[in-house]
Amino acid sequence: MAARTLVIIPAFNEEESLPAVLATLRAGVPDFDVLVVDDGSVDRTTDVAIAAGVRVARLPFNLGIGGALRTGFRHAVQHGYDRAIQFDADGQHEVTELAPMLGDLDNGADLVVGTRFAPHPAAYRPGIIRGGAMNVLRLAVAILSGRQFSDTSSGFRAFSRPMLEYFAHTYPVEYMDSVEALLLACYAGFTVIERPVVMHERSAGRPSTRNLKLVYHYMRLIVVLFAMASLRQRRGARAT
Amino acid sequence: MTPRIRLIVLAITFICLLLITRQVRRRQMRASYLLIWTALTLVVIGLIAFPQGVDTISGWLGIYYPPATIFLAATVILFLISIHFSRQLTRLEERTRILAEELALLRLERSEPPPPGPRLPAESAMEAVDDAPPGAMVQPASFIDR
Repeated sequence: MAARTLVIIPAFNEEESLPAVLATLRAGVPDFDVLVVDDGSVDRTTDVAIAAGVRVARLPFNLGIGGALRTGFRHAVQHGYDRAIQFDADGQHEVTELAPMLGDLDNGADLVVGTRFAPHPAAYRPGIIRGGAMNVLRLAVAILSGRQFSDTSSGFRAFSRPMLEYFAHTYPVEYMDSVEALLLACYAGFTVIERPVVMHERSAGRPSTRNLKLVYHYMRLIVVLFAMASLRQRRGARAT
Repeated sequence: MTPRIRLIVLAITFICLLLITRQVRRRQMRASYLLIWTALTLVVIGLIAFPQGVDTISGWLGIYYPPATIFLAATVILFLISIHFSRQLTRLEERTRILAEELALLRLERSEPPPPGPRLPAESAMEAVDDAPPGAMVQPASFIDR
């Protein structure tokens, strides 16, 4: 029996870009179920998703991407999916990249992170501030996890069933959840790997956060990450 | 302490206690908070009755300037209370989040959200079914719970 796969798309006010993303998914991976988690949008995100014939879990207010993802993970666990993919609603991710990421899961990985920075023809180029901040984060993660991750904030990821079960209740809900999640997975002894992928510029809408707020979030995150370091002792005590 | 300042502090203490009691009576505050604040009030009243107690305690702690003892105690107590509140807030927020997530999943299970406003569930469900094209997922247009 083929593995059942759920594509989780957290969406906050993405009515413009969502239809095209859903169309590419239907064309590229028709066997996969798609769940759009409408994160308290005030536009027609839910309507366009329903029009495209996919499932929609609509949150009553905005929880941020972490909360939306956790909702998706719960759904995946409750409905017995073997694996899940996090896919962006704004067209940054490429459906053709899914197959190799899922292949990694089949080879025993629990968390596959699609990374923008590994050598690739259409390399992603962030702005100076964002790029600098990403370097700081990368350093912090390298110190804390003892591993090199080239892209700590990627939103293009694949999750194994045990990873989903773990994240259904523990997934971090504050901004830049992905960095915390990366460390959580490492600390809990899951197999985390990176895979280079192509990423596009955002097709519609604006980046979720401005620079000043970004600085605050990076500061907060650094504090949280080092506070989390005490969890490291639990490495190896993997919850399956 | 002059009698005047004692009287003023006593009055402030009682007014605070009265306000807090009223909040509890109106169910705007949990009774356990009344307990904390009442206990603190009793401490303040105790200090008004026996001001020399502060000197004694300062002597034990090795504080030369007795009023500093009061400031220290107040700072520590307020600090602890705000830590307690931060914890409570965090817990409340987490529970709210979980409720929101569960609500979204339940809506999905039912394939339709609860009706906006005070309409009866049965009524809106029938309307929605009437409006929907055959075989379509039933879900009314946007409503925002804000």
